[in-house]
Amino acid sequence: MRRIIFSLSMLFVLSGCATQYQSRGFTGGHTDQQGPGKLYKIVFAGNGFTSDDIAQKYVLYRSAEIAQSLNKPFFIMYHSLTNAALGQPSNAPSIGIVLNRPTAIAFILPLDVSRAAAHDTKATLHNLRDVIAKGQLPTSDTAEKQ
Amino acid sequence: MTLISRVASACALLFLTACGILPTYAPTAEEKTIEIRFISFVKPSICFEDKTYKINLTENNGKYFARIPANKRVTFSNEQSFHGYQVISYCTASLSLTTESDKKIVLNAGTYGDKCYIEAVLEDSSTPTGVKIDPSLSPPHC
Repeated sequence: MRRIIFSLSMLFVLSGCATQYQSRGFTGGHTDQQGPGKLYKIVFAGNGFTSDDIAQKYVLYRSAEIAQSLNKPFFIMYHSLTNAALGQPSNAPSIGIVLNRPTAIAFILPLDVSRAAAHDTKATLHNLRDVIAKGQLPTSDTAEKQ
Repeated sequence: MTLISRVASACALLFLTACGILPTYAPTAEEKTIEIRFISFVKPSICFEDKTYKINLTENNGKYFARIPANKRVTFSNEQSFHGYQVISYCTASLSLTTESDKKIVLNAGTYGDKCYIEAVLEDSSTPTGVKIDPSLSPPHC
């Protein structure tokens, strides 16, 4: 019994860092679902070690992955269904932070042709490649935020 | 602990927990209902004609639905709890709308900043995004 408790404790200690870019599991991750309408909902739930900037970048990257899987070269992002219904796009996902855990949310509309406020699918995947691989923002980006 | 005190404790516990239990909405065969999609709801409930019910969502291909009374003003609520280190945070969000039979209503729940919210739209394939604002949307009625 002690061994199990010790092993679990070690597991928590070792995994006690920011949620990586991954499909949602015990420590968080991304989920996506189709609809309503022509939209897709993308969510990334982080843990207490995940910054809100990273959570937003993960949703942006996941959005581009979804658009690419649908062969859509562009996509528009909305904070909420209400914003989508009103035609009010946003540059970044919305962020909710409860008990120091960020959750980034976006509804995306995949597109065949570019439109005002549209994200380029390939460019988004390319630009965020390093962020996804390293799990952190580039130093210059972090400096800009500060 | 004697048997009497054990029984008394159990009764007290049952009495106290019963305060938070809502009846589950179960429409009768004659009752007109519409199917509504719920996204990211944790603990949904409805209120109409001054009665509050919890609702059970049914899953179909990863999407969640519930049958709701048709042609009434219904208040929808979602309660969420967040568990942290030695702390639990609760929040509830509500809104109301009318449930005409021809509407395709979708409700979505989420958090923005440190607040939780719910929102409702109507599915309409004629709009650019496939959703539009429900004109009957208003604050909770009960």
